Amino acid sequence: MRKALLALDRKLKSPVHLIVGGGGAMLLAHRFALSTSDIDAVPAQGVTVLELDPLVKEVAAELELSPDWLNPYYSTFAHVLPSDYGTRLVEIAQHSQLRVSALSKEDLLVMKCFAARQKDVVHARVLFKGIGDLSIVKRQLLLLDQKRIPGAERAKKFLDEIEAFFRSREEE
Amino acid sequence: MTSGLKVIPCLPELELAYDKLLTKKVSPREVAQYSQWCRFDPRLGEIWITFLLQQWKTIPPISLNTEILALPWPAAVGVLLEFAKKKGDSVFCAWCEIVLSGVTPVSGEQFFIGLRQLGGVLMLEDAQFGSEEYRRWGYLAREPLLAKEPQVVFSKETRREILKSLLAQSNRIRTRDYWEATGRSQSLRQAERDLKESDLIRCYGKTKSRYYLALKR
Repeated sequence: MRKALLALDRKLKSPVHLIVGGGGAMLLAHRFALSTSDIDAVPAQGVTVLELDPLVKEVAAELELSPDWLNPYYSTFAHVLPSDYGTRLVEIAQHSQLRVSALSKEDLLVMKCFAARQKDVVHARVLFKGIGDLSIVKRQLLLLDQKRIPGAERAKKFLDEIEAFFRSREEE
Repeated sequence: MTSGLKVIPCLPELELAYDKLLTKKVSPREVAQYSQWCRFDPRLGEIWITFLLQQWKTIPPISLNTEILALPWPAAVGVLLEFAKKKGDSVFCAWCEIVLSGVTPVSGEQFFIGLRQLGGVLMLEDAQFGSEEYRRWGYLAREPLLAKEPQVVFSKETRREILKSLLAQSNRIRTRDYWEATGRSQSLRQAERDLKESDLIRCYGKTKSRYYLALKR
């Protein structure tokens, strides 16, 4: 993944800032070893999704990667992010043109709660354990529930179950 | 991982898609493919819907259904056809049912990709005030896709959220303020009915001097 990002940097003619979410963030920023072959990343500055993709394809061809080794699709759920998520970004890399940051554990957990899939439970538990103060996550889920954002109620229940899991372990 | 198109269309490809749809020289496979590209370009969505309303009788619905079921976002076609159905007749609607056979809604994701700031206010408002044409298929957006017509449909629940948001900015409103806040998506009469029935406000005055004050909670 890092090699691919470096190759992408070489193709850029001006500064670009990518924000990574999903499995890529878990691996590159939060050191959670999992098998993911792609990076969920969105350009926050410098280039649009449409402009970036041809360069991503060039890198894919050069390094024999899947053409969607870098894709923006996690952004379709980014409406759940707290407005101040930018203050908690974790820096992954700074190349000559390309800056790469990842969502924090708190913000990733908010997104995981909204995904609320059973296959997200393992990652959610890892994130939960690594977060010192859950108030950011709880506050955001409450806010989204108050705004009647679809999935907010289910997200709160998902977090409640994660919390209950760790509470029951402490009691044992 | 959230899956999607392996290759995102670039600007020249989008322009070619416009041209093919406008000149009506396009195969069912391309019609299906362009439905996915609409998520990157609302203007393509408008053109796609206009094309379909003019040419649907020449497109075998089962062929189109087969093509879209093989694509990553078949529910996107559901959204586009929701808009198209507003202009089509009952036969067209029956054609749409065949095209959408086996297509299921997604689960609360933004319809458009790469057009809003990540986690920004507008992205959140798209989720909060999403119109029914998108919500029926599990998507979140507000953009009207019928060319030159501003109409989207908001559910009663969403209209209540819009009213709450308006009252957060000013606790005194008129019917027209609320009507404008809904993007004029309904008649003034319906807007008046909404306000009359709302538990968030109290009405004062009559006819032209009527206004509403937010109730303290």
